[in-house]
Amino acid sequence: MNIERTALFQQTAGCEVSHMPDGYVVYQSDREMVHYLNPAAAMVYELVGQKQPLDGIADYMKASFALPATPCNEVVACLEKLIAENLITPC
Amino acid sequence: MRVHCPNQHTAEAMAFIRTDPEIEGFECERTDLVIEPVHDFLRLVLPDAVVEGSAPVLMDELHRYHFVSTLADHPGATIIHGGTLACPAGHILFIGDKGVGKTTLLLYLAAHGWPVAGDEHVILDGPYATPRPRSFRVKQGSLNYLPRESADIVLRSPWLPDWNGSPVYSVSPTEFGQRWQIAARPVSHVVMLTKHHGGRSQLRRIEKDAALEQTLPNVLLPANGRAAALGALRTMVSNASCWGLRSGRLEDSKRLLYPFISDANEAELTRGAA
Repeated sequence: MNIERTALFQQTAGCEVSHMPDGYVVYQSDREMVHYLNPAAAMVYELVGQKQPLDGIADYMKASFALPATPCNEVVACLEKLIAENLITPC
Repeated sequence: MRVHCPNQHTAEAMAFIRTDPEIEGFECERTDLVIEPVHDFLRLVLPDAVVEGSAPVLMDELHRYHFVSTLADHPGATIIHGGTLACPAGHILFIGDKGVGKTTLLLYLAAHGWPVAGDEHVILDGPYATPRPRSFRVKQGSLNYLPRESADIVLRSPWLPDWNGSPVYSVSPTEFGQRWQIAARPVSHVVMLTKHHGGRSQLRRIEKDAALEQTLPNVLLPANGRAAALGALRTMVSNASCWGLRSGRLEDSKRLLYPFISDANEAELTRGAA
């Protein structure tokens, strides 16, 4: 999937989120699915909810984790997984 | 709940649901329920229903009311279909599909003096698990696996016929000479049971994700706050040691599980597992 650097996504409606010390548990009642997001995925999910584009998410992750390079590929991979699980959708 | 019966005959019939454990850490409110004779039937007025019928019909409704009350008392809690060994260091939960032999195993352990606190449901409320108080429901076939004197104890217990007319006995853990304590504690071990009837029992560590996946079909989530309840379930599994027990010969299973209730450390537990 080709994700534009300025693409915006939104959290899918109907998801119930529980904030755990080591990540998020997300429950989708309509699919009766439960997902566990590790801290990095939880951060991406949260930033999507704040209407951050891919660039903004990657820059934030770089600063938060003190990374030497901007993790664009990793953020794209995470967004693709969240899309595949219908946790986020394009705006 | 204290059920008042109109006569000895009704009291003997209702004894099937008698449950009288020691409750630790909870303030218990007593609810008095009165059974009245009505012509050839019995009547029981519950806070949410009026029931008329035979003693088994009233018992079904009492079970329903007790379960509904349990859910109301623990909003947001998850009900796990499983049995409990109550140990001071933390509860040991036994989870498995129907027919895997969970009750038979726990009954066998109780008959050997182990601290079995429940064999049906566990209430997981935040980090604490509480076995839901209910006596063992023992089918005729399980008697073959018990020591003779323990089988005799079961045979002297109250019973009701199942759909096939075979007796199902109601047995309190106290009948085997031990205390029956209900307390909210963290979970120290989660044991996923699979059946290997007639074969050797085998115990092995399993990955926590696998344990959680196997637990999920055996839970009843609350109506609201499911994500939080699932989070608590995940935390419970993450903090516990997780095991798979292929339950064959009961004496094998008892031997494999013994370190869980002794002071064995983690190295000894792993060494003892198959």
